[in-house]
Amino acid sequence: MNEIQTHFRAYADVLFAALAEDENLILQLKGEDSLFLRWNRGKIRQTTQVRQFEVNWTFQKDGRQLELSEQLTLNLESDARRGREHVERLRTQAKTLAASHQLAPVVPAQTSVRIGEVPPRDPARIAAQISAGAAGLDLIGFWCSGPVVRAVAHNRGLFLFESRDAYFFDYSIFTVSEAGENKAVKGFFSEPEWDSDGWAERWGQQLSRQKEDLELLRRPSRRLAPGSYRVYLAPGAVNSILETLKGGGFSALSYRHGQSPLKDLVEERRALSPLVSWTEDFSLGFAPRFNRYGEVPPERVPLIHDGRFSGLLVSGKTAREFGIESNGAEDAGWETEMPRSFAMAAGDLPADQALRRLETGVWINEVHYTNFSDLKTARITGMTRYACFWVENGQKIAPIEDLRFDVSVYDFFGEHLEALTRERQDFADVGTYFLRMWSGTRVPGLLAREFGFTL
Amino acid sequence: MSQIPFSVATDFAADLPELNAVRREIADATDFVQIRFHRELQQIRAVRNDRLEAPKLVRHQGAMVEVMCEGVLSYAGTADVSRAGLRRALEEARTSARALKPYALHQFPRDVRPPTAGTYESPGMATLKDLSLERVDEILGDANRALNRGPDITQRHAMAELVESETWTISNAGEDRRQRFALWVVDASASAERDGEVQTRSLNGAHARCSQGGADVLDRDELVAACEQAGEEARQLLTAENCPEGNFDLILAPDQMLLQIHESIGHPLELDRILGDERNYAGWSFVKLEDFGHLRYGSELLNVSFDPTLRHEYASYGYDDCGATASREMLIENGILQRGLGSLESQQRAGVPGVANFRSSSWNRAPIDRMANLNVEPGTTRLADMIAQVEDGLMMASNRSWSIDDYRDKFQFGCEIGYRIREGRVVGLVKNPNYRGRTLDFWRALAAVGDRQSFAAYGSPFCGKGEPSQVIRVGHASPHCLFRKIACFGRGS
Repeated sequence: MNEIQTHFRAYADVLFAALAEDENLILQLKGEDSLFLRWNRGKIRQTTQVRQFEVNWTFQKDGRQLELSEQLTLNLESDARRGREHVERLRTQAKTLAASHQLAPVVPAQTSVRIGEVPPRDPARIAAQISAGAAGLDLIGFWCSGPVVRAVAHNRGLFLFESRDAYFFDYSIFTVSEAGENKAVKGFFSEPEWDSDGWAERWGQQLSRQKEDLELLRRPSRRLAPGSYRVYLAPGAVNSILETLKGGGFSALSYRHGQSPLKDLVEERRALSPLVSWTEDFSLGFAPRFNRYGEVPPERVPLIHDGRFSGLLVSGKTAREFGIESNGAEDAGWETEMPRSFAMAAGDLPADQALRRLETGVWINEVHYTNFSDLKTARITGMTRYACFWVENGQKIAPIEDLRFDVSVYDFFGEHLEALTRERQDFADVGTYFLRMWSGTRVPGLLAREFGFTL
Repeated sequence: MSQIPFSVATDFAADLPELNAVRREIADATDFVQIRFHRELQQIRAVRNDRLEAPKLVRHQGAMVEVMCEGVLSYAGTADVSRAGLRRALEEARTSARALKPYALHQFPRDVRPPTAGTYESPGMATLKDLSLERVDEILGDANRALNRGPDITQRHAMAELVESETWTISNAGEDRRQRFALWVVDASASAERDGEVQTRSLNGAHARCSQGGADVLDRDELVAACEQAGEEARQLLTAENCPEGNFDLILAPDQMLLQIHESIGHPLELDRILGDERNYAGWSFVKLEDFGHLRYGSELLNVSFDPTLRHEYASYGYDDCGATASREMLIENGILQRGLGSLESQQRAGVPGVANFRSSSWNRAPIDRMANLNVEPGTTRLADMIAQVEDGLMMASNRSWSIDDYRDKFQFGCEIGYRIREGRVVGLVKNPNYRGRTLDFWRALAAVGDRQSFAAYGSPFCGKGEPSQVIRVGHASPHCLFRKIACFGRGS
């Protein structure tokens, strides 16, 4: 990543030198040098390596603002030539604009550089290690490794740069039940270092533990009638539902545009269970602590505290438009601010007691394709997926046929919420749309009653 | 003062100065080598509440290098399209292909990459130069004002996006294809609010007005009229009754059929899903390979085509990314499943017929099986006659909520607006309309298909799939369709 840091500095210097006094240019760099291995039936279906470094411009001239995005070639001569052409184009377009009501902040100058280590990534060795552990299993998954980078610079002296190296293997193992149904368990494997001592053993041990659930999944499924059930949502299911809620639920811009699913909570007409506290927490280290404009957020931004509204995520651009204070949130570019390092407070239920406390009901390991069915009432619909079980007397009796749920956040995070687990699980964002995400979430499991299934 | 052109496209060849040198270099390679150059130039202009938002320009360019060594394919993508940059990517792809051969799921014959040469161009591209940036802003300003239908309207948004996309694919086996696209999204919405109730009405659902074409796509008068109607309907929905709950006869407008086709026909018919490639992410399919040629997917009225040849539809093209020539194919005929959405690679693996649909979102992704234009063919029923057939029912339009399971069976969809139908007549609006069902039951309940007059094409820029993930542009056209006894409900049900 030293190469890209040097290039980004030089590229920025060339462009900053071309600016007039009434112009500002904020450059955000997002990049990766990735290896993707796509697995199916224990073999590799597709192999792709991608080196890409996208630079997002916020250009201001005399109070006008335009945005531009392009990919760097890492050839300074061609990147600088194209960059100077962009400056000219944006100057021309700026003449057609009125003064912007969304002018992004030009934050005070500072310099910070954090560079992670780059471990080796020999594709053949990765393939050999994964294959050896998964012999005999119907394994399908996604290996992703290589460095990622985020950086921001502006022509008033700011330079922030952070890179890290990371890998994960996000996978499923399928089996066929005694009744001929396809069933699967979900898995995720990632460690701070690739190929450290004992890596292969730990990978094998994780698969062995999952084989226990696979055995249970071979029992014939229980078909449950639609209705309300007592449920335990494992941390993976809670995380998936929160991913939907993050789409506007904590964004000041979404709220101002009338598109917040938590409008009634923000306006204190509704409350959640006192057990629920949600915080943007950069002390967890899930994401770089600066946004596309170089704003550095507080280490902790309380969003919901003890079930009541505490605050929204506000980017500098939203702050400017609505005359409110920024807390350095990321302007995600989808008309919303999104959490990047999100934590849900733990409860007091020991995770190993969750089955016993559930007593009789549905154990939901994961959910699929969640979406709002009604914003006003914060209703979310989705499907159960992966290793979900019918439980009686604290014992997993049988897998279930997957069910559709349609429930309000105000119910299952509200008066129907009975307990949260003491232990929490971390989820790195495995998203790779356009380029690799860099964010994460820490959540507990959740015990609730009257969880509504509809189909 | 001279006006600024909205189009920003320049000669693609000028951005690839070493192309001929690269051609010569790969010609000597012993392995199969394909290079797909891709450039997208995107302009987005938007007006919210009478104020122009910060304009956005996007310029993405790069190349995906593909190598086949002894039947094993491997890809490496780079934004550096110089000879040196491509040489490095080629070496990475070649090294991986060789090293991973023992772990490869499949080894392919060379004919999965036909040596196709040719060109494709969206209709009307020559007219783009006649459209100025100032005119686009003026039209969007007019549209934004037209959304304002009184004090209850709190948010008004109008936007236009033009993507000028170009791919140029060469290989050492004779491939040489250039495809140029002008891809539009025109979107507008109004939100009305009173006493804590918020209702939003857009033109045809968010980002559904997608098409290929020239300057005439941005038709000021048509857009303003549509915005006036959207603003009016948002206001009226505030006081409309909640959608009733129960089993009703349901008419879906073409702008909701787009979503119904996409989720419950398109995705389950993708051969790579059926082959299990997506099981860890998007999911599998209830359709099995042995179902092709036999499965009764819908009633006899259901005819579904894969048609990338409709010139103005959003996902038209001449060739897919492996070189298959695009052609119209029937996937479902008279209700019987005939053909899957599978590329030459998937056809080779599955042994069933497919289509030219091996598509990547950009230079930084390998192609996978995707939808393109997937359409329900028109029937013979006029919309008025269809409504007249409904004793007690609903009509729904413009998608706002969608969810379906990982086998593409149990779905729940919501719309922006509903119309109550009694005794063969529309008697009023209903708000918060939703319906749910199971895929085969639903399509088998198809009771009438609208005629060509009600046939309309929409699409989406955001069909997500794959690991690594990619969004692809899809087009869906359909007439109004009537379904019998569908579970419908409103808010709070």
